[in-house]
Amino acid sequence: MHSLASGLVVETSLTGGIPRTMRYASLIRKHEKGLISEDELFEKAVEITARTFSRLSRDLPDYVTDGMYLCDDILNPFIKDLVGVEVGGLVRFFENNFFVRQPIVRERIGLTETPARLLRRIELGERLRRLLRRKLRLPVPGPATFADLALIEPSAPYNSRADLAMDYFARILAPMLELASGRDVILEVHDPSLTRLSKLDGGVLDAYKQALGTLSEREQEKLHLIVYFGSFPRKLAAEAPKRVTLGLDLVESREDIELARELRGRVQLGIIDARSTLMEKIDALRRLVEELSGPESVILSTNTTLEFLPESVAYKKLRLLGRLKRGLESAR
Amino acid sequence: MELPILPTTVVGSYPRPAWLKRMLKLRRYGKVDEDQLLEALDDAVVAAVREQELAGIDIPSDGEQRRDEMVEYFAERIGGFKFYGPVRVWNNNFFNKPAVVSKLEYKQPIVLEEYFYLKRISTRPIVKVTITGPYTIADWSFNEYYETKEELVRELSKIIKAEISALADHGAVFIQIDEPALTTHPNEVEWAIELIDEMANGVNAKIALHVCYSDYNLLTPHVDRLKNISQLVLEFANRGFRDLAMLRGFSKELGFGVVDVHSKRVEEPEEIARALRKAMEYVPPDMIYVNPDCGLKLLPRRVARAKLESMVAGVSLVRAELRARGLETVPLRLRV
Repeated sequence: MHSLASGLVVETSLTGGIPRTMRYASLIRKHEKGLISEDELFEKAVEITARTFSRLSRDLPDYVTDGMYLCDDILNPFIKDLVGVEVGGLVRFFENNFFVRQPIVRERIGLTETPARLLRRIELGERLRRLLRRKLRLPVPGPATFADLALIEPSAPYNSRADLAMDYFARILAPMLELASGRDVILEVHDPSLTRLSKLDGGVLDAYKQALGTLSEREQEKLHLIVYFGSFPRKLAAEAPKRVTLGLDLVESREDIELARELRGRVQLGIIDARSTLMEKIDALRRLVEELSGPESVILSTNTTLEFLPESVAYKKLRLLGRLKRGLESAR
Repeated sequence: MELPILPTTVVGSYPRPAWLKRMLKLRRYGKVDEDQLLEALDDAVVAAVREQELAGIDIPSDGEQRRDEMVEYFAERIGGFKFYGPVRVWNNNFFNKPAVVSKLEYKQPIVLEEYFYLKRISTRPIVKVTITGPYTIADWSFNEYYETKEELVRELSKIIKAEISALADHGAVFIQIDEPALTTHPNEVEWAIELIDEMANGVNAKIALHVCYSDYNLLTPHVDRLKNISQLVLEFANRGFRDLAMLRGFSKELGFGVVDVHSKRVEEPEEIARALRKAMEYVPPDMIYVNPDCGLKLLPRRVARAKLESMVAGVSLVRAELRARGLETVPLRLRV
């Protein structure tokens, strides 16, 4: 049995984005009016995210992301780097008062030869990584979520959402992983639709597992599969390649608490509620982590992106993560 | 009270004039006093109502010129809320999401004065007053106080009931409850519908319910339970008029959304007319009101006005066809 005393590795991570500041929102409006250039806006994004992260000082997570500062949501402008897909209207992002752009799939999907938006995000992330000396994750949509939220036009060669999800694995996720591994970037694959697989066609879970397995071992290590707003499919968790880090939502799913106790290897624990302004009690969180006996390594995080919270609360929650990690380490 | 067939109306908000936005900014910096701002707000309402009327709208609203945001506005006026700061909703659009931190308290009427002013300045016999519904206020707030969300919605519905009762008692005949969040959580729709209907019970006014950007398949099974709601105001343009078949056997009036408020493209009158003819395959024309999908406030003002003009022109095309069938007016129905 592993315990903290016997060497459980504890790290912290930002998951998804950080709340866009009003200052940056106003710069975007200026850019839209042609008052500042794309490059100036980019530099401001670097400056604001760097300053924001630096403010966290010793509570800065071990893994940071690009803050998703160049994104309106997980799908936009990501869709613009794809072929066969157009940017559609707004659709609700799960049960949140948050709307994302719907991918309209018209033809066979693929990643463009030069995915300019993705590369720009990586550039921002890499600058943050160098500055902050942290590991970098890049949040991108997962296959099930992309297929779930997409509108598939009759002209597209997909008979089902499952077909689309599998092609996403091969033609979008795999080349993105390749792109990321060459740059020492971890893909943070957001796939909350795995919690509602019934909306996808039968057999998709097996196909999903197989598709994960077909990625080379080196690439699997660069993949953190984050599922939230419900339970991580147990079968997938049990049979997923061991080098893939699985992210569970312990806030929304009691089953995931059980699952976290059973899993081996490295697991991300979404233990802080990124959709509530109520602050968690640090002792309760500490007990939850201390009771884990399975994993050798845990990444403590919020259950989902911090963009659902006001800025001030989001940073309190990140600071709480830092305090929790220090508390766990000092208890060894 | 009679209205022309296919009465045209709005869902609520209308773009604020640029000068009002400047006044609001100046007020924040303390460069104008409260009275000057109030005067500007009154003037903005006059402008919004006049533009709707010039576009040919039969039932205008005050354009919600006084409201920064539909939940924030009510939360600021109901006791028990606190604000931590803005959160983003889509693209670069934010709202100041409130948190319920103590027992909620109805302090005084919230939109009654708005109604009095609108009624005074409008040339139309009927005006529409919009109120954010209890479910949406709860869903778009953080709940730090009540044990359950249902308990929170119940408390809010008592407050909104007091508000709509006050409006009806003072002569408002058309009140729209805005519940864009209603189908967000499928397992909560049933009790939310019950609370909304109970809230409208005994209120002597026409009560419409606006639900948008939602899965209407979750709503339609409950429509018949809305005994005190006469009209459902639904968005269809944004979804390319798909899902119209769900209106088969619809037992309420339809507030038919024919203008996409998330696109700056101005719809052609013939497009509007085509959509109306399609809707009339499912809902009789005397049970249809025509409106944009949702509030127009995020559009440039000239686009909003052009969209309303186009909408009215499209309605005129269909009205001419209905006139040939002897259909010219509809009664204002308080209950359906």
